[in-house]
Amino acid sequence: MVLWTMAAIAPVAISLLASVKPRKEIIASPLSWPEEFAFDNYSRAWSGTNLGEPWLTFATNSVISTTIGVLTGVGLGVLAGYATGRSKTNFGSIVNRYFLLLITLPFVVTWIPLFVLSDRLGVLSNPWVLGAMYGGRLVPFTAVMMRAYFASFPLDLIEAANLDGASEWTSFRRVVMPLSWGGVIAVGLVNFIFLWNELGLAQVLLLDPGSRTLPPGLSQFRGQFSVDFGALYASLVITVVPIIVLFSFTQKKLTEGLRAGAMK
Amino acid sequence: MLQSEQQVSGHAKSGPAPRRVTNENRRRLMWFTFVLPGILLSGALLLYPFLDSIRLSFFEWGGVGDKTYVGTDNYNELVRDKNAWMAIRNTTLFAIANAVFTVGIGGGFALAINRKVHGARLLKYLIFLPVLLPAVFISLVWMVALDGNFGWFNDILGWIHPSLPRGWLGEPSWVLPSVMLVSTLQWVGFPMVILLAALDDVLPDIHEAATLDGVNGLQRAWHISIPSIREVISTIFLVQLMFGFRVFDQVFVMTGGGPGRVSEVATTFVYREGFLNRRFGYATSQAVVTAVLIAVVSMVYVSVVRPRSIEKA
Repeated sequence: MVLWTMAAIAPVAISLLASVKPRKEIIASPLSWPEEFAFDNYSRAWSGTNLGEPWLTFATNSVISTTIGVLTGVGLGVLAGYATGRSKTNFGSIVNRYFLLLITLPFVVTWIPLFVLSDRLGVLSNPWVLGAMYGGRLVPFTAVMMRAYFASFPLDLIEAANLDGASEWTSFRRVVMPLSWGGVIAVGLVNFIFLWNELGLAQVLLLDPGSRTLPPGLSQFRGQFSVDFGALYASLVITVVPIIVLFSFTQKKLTEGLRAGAMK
Repeated sequence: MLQSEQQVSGHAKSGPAPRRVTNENRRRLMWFTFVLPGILLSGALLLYPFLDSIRLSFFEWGGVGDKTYVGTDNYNELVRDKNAWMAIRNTTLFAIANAVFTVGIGGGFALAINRKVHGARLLKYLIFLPVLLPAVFISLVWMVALDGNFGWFNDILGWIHPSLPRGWLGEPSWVLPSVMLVSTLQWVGFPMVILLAALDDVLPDIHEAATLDGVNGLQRAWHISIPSIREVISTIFLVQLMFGFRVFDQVFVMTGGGPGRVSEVATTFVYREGFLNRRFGYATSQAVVTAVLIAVVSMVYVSVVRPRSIEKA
């Protein structure tokens, strides 16, 4: 098992090591501790001489699309999940079934139509629009998750608020939400990671290199023949380290969110 | 007496009845508005494209200009296309391998970690970490590592035995297993974490009682732990199966379907036919076939596996 862990972690470790080695060393002895330190790998990665765009461009686009996606998707998903959870009639379960069905739909089937639509509307290569599209994808999963989450919410609190004359919206906003942030954040984090790492739709829609998010941007390395390994590894490191750091801090919430996810 | 009472409650016209009816209606309207934006957005981005894909699959179209209606020609061509079959075959193999290995190995790890071994938490953290990393990242690093000439994977293998090194991604018979390996390495942590959580819920008393009766660890694992979490296992297996069918990132980055389309999967086939060969109709027909395949597999799986677990409960 330890061997396995080493293999699983290898990409991270190797990238870190290799990112500071000069090219010759990487090819000759990829696994050893560097003899020379080549920090200029990082300056090349940062300025993007190999990928055609500075790393920051890709990162910014990723931030845009992922944030918009999570905000809209989770926002609408939580509302929907709450309503289906509270509804006492069949309405709730019918809508939930709709969402469950949508979850099983493979995204690949949406690529071409969304491409055609974006082309017609002239919004190809637009991370903002991609974000909005991502949002739509997140709704079903979020709604189903939150429905389960809200199912265990103490009704008396809501009833009390309603008796005092609060509308459903107000009781939702003032009573339910403040207490539910834990669940929302857990789901939000899972969704965030998922969107951040998404390649499919981003690769299809973001044709202009300047509009690309990190995954398609980095994947440009794949076709190169004389790969600048140093810059490659450096780029990968700057992409991945923030995720690792984020994970270290949010560990509990994340695993909670995922657990709740698969249990359903 | 009863009749008139019925009449009164049916009309929103007299006494306490109207307030109750209106409140109910207001509430229902509220739920409806809560739910509507979500339904619309997800429908627009998932349902509509799916239906449009079906529609497009009956045309021959290059993306600009006129569409030519060709009826079921795309599907006919698909049936005769060796590459399409290869893609479906690879995708299915990948899905099964993904599910079997990630759940199997992840489950094994979960059982091992569950016994509170030293450093278990660190291992859990490290094994799970790759799940959060972009598949593109993992794929790129391994692509370099598996390189026939420069890759360090071969270097290590060479130390073990000189006959082991080979051109992993370049050899038709080793491409798919190589990609599967990379993907499994990354994803094994996901089922592991899920199963660990499930194992946590298993009552420790049963284990205690068993230990008192002289049952050893391995037997406890096989006869107690695994059956108790049967449902979770079947669920996560299905989830991983579904993920497997959708594989794209790893294949796209590492092989692009090669060498010579040997490692083609459904998603890369759609990408290639749609965006490289500019045949939207043909590409969507494959996409639709894949979606239907996935739906059929899920339905079969659920009807075969679920009833048994319901019986148990």
